[in-house]
Amino acid sequence: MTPLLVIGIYLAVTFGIGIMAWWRGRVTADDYYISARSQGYMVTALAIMATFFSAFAMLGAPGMLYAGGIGFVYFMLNVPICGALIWIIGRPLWRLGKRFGYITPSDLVADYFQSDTLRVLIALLGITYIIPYAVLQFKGGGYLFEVITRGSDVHVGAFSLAGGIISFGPLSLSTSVFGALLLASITMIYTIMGGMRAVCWTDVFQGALLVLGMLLGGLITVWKLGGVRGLFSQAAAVGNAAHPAGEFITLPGPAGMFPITMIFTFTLVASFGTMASPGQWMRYYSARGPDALRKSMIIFAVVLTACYFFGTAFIGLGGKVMFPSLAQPDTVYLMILEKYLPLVFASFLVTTIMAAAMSTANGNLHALSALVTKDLYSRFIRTGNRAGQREMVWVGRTVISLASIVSLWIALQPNIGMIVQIGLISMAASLQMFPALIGPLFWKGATRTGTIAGVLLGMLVSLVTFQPAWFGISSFGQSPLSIHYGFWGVVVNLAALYVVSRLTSPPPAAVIERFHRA
Amino acid sequence: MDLPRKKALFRKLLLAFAVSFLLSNGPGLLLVNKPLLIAGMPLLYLWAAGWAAIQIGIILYAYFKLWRDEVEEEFETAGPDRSGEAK
Repeated sequence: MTPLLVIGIYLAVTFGIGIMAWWRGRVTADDYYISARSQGYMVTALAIMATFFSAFAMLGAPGMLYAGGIGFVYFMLNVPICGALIWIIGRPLWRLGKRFGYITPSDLVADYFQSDTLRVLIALLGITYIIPYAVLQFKGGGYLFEVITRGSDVHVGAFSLAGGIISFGPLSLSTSVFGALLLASITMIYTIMGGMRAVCWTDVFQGALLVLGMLLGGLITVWKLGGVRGLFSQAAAVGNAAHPAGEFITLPGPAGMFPITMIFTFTLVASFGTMASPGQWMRYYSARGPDALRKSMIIFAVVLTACYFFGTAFIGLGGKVMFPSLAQPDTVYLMILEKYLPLVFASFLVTTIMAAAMSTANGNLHALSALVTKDLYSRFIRTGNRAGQREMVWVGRTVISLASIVSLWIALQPNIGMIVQIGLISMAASLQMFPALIGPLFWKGATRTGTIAGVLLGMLVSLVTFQPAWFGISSFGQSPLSIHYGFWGVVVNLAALYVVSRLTSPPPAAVIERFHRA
Repeated sequence: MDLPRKKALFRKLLLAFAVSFLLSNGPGLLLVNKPLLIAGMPLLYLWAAGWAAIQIGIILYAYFKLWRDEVEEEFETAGPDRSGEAK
């Protein structure tokens, strides 16, 4: 019963916050999509952090450390870069967004380059990034519900929970399906009702929870292994006949997972790709002012770096000492909770992982609704007479409902291998949007044709280096020369942007002046 | 601080950040890729944590020396808010 109560309290509080946000909101497009640019620094910081932190950060990242050793610590150095980007790109995006009334990433890029092709291209890249993310969060949520209720035996009236099956009268579902359904429904309802305000307010609660969850996880691991020295000295001794001691604390690690070229390129892909994603971009727009972004930068860089170095790293490396031969490395954090904590605390910490999943899903679903409503519906379907404020909001709500249902349906399929593949390419897809910012923000010489060529070629090269077999190529495998496929893509993207821009005409001088003097 | 000096300082800090990244996640790793423990902690962990601290230090320096002054100026020069209009 305890796990159900803890989950129930968490979901009720989250839902209540979402409803409060709806109560405070107005039915206007700018309020629904970007909170009328009114979010203060604490809300902005925690919303950016909560969207950044997916279930992967709390399950997958410790699993990577468990399986591949200390090399994964270096991927964590993408956090200070992301922090700096909140200011370096977030501030000019906020300023242009406020000045010209932008809501989506495509608004800005299409306005600068005067191009509907780029509007659609950027929207599609965004959608490619968002859907797999939502699917994986729902899938993860269902899995967590299954884990947290494992061993429960509850019978109250027509309701029963036992043996991984939850029943109410004649209806019965597996706990993983029920969990995914429950998380997706609650996330969908408060996101539909409250829009960006609900997303950001719930992110504050969820962001605080997941920071607590990571740091407490690290603390418990250190405590159980006799302090930081105890943890590291035992991790250094990890080894067997195939992998001698010491391999775990050097590169490329026991499974050869972390060559230096991969560490270097993937860190850049993760930082630039994540911070240019539609969800984060819209958080820059929704900030109250530059001060909110400036303080968010500091909070993000300091708090998240601490979480990774003192939470994730300790959980992953210490988990290897505690459970040397787990079949599924991703479960290492859950194993620590299950074995070393009383049920009530373990349940609470599992809800912090659920919070990570929900906070990523809600932000991405909300961003998806803005992309579809603003960039596709309003631009190409309601071409004759412009959609009104209420219509924009209701179309967005419909999109969130449909996207949630589709994502949930995919998440419930027994085999989601293809969506995992798309998820892996999604960060590379998001990264290809980054060079589209160079014209509006940094380089007056960038042209529409150069940007379109860069985005298309960048995406193509990312796909080819991600799965060469899809293109009938057998001379190299995924990520040739251990250079991340997203990095290959962005290098070609930037080269094409430069070369083609030199050969074609830039936007009208008046447009360039409007942006670069804004 | 006047604008040219701000720009020069920004370039220097950007360069410092790039160098720190090359040393932390790039060729600099070759210098420390050894199974050593220093003060009970792996050399590679200390190297990563040290560079993370330096990178955060650069961000904090930029925050106090460069970016704090810009906020009020931008609020004053930002144009009319047309965000309420349906575009």
